[in-house]
Amino acid sequence: MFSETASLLWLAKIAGASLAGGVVGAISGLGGGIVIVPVLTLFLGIPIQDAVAASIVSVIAVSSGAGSVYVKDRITNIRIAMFLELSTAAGALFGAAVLTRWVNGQMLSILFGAILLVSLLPIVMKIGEELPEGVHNDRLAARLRLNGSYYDKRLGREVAYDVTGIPAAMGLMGAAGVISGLLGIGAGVVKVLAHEIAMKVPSKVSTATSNFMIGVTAAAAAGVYLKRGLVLPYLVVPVAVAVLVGAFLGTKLMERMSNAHVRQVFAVALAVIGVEMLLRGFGVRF
Amino acid sequence: MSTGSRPSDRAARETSAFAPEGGLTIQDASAWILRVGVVTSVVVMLCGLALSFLHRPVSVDQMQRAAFDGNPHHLWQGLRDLRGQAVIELGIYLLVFTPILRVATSMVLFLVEERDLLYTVVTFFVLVLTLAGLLLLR
Repeated sequence: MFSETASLLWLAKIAGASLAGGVVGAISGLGGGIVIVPVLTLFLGIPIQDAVAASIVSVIAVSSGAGSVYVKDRITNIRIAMFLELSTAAGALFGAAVLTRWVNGQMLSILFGAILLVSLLPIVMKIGEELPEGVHNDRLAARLRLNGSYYDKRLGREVAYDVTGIPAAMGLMGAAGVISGLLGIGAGVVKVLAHEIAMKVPSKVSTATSNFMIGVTAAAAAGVYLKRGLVLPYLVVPVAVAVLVGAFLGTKLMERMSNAHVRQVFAVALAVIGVEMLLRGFGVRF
Repeated sequence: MSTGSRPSDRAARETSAFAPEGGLTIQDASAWILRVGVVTSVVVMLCGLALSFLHRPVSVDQMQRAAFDGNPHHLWQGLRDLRGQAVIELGIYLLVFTPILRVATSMVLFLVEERDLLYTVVTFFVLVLTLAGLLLLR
């Protein structure tokens, strides 16, 4: 009986931390994985490799949960998603199957800290707040018919857009895939950058399409982790379920508050966590 | 409504291509698969966790070390015995296969509903990449 209480307490702690991670991930726009891995390792003493494996599975849940809403609203650009998934999935396989053999826990910590800090840049720089203008399909985009349109609720009209910079976007997406496979995160921020900076896709389409792609990227990486026996089933349940619920709550909360301010507050908190992961990677402990 | 600007013309055609009359659209099929997949896998995982604790308490140490058993025979055996961990693993498989099933369905719809060979091929390669880790690695 004593051991059962301890076990339930352990599950509850993991679930609580994951719930918080899901909320923060949704509000900050960084996604669940990048928040949950540091939380599990720094606060709950889970080995980083186990946290990464649990995270990549939970990323699928969050992406699919949110994706089903975006896709129904016709914001997601299915062609862009499908074409660029070629490079994210290939990158994810490479990251998960090849690079993980070369990288130890300390290096993972350092990479994690670095990626977390870089991911905060778009929040600080306020990228993607206006609709892109004067964009024309480049040859590849025209050939692949990647342009599209969506109904913008805030503007109250249909917005049509062209797409450019496909080769650069494919490179960035490949990098996003590698990061996903190696660190067990969705790397949504890199995907959003590829959409908005390289391809000049409107922000809403970029967010929805990135999210849609994350599920496939994560599934490619998760396959490797599953096959290698790196996934701990009893860790995955509280993490995946709680991150999913947290992401849902976070999205609902977002609708009720003016997000610019809240995002900045979270950015500071996440910067602290990023620095802490870096320090831990370099062997400095508190 | 139309001002004759080129992107919106092309976009209009694009939108209609996504919604063929009366057919199943890739968007709707994807949304449905994603939702059903996530809900089902979460329910199965939670049932598995409950089963584990009904049988006998699992210690914290066990939970931190019990690794995913990739052997399909063990999984099948575990499911027949209603072992909690096997049920959780089934839930995890369902979750991982949710986006993969979405890709497979899109491939079929690109071919059957949209008759778009280029994207059928693109989607086929995406499907191969997502399955590669599960099927090819040792």
